[in-house]
Amino acid sequence: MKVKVLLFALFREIAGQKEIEMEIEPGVTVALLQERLREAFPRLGDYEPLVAVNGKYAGAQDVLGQGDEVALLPPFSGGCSD
Amino acid sequence: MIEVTEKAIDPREVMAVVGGDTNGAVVTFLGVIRGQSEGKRVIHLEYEAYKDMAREKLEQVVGEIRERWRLEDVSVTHRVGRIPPGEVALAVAVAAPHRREAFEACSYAIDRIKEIVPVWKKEIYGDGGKWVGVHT
Repeated sequence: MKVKVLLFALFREIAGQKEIEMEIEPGVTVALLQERLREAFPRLGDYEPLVAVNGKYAGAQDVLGQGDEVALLPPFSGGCSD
Repeated sequence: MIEVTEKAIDPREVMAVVGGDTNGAVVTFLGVIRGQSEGKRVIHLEYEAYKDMAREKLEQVVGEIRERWRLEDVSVTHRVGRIPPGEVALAVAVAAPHRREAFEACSYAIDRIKEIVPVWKKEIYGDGGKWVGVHT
């Protein structure tokens, strides 16, 4: 089955793309997907991102399903300057 | 009004949302891009958002301040994309019957926006750029 991975800001630059479609087997967790992404893009391993699945924060052991949208979120820096 | 937009923020539009006659106090905050950062001249900032989630989290922030303080109208607009120095990146306007609630709620909203809304910014200098808040 397929999931869509969204990469933002620094992570988008590291991966050189903002969206990746990945083929996974049933039972793959958020943590395992992150491990595969780090294999593909080793510099992602320097960071501990928040992960959202379908717009909601997800835990490392959450299991992914067909068509899920998995977003890797660097530390936020919105709003104005400090 | 809650908005994540590429368009320039017009403070008059933000003010128009909070103009009801039950509002004894209107506190507005405009977050403006600075032209300097750690001694470097900033040409512009690049803001990026996970748009759907950002809108949802802005709604959550507004929900939180409405729960904590007695407010009338609230308006939050976050601009994304390329923003030059001197222009507004974030506008928050809070109207309440009394000033204390309006000040406190506005201040809280700004802190929470920085904390929970998935938006990122990159400072662009003459010789490169830097994502704010991450070590690279």
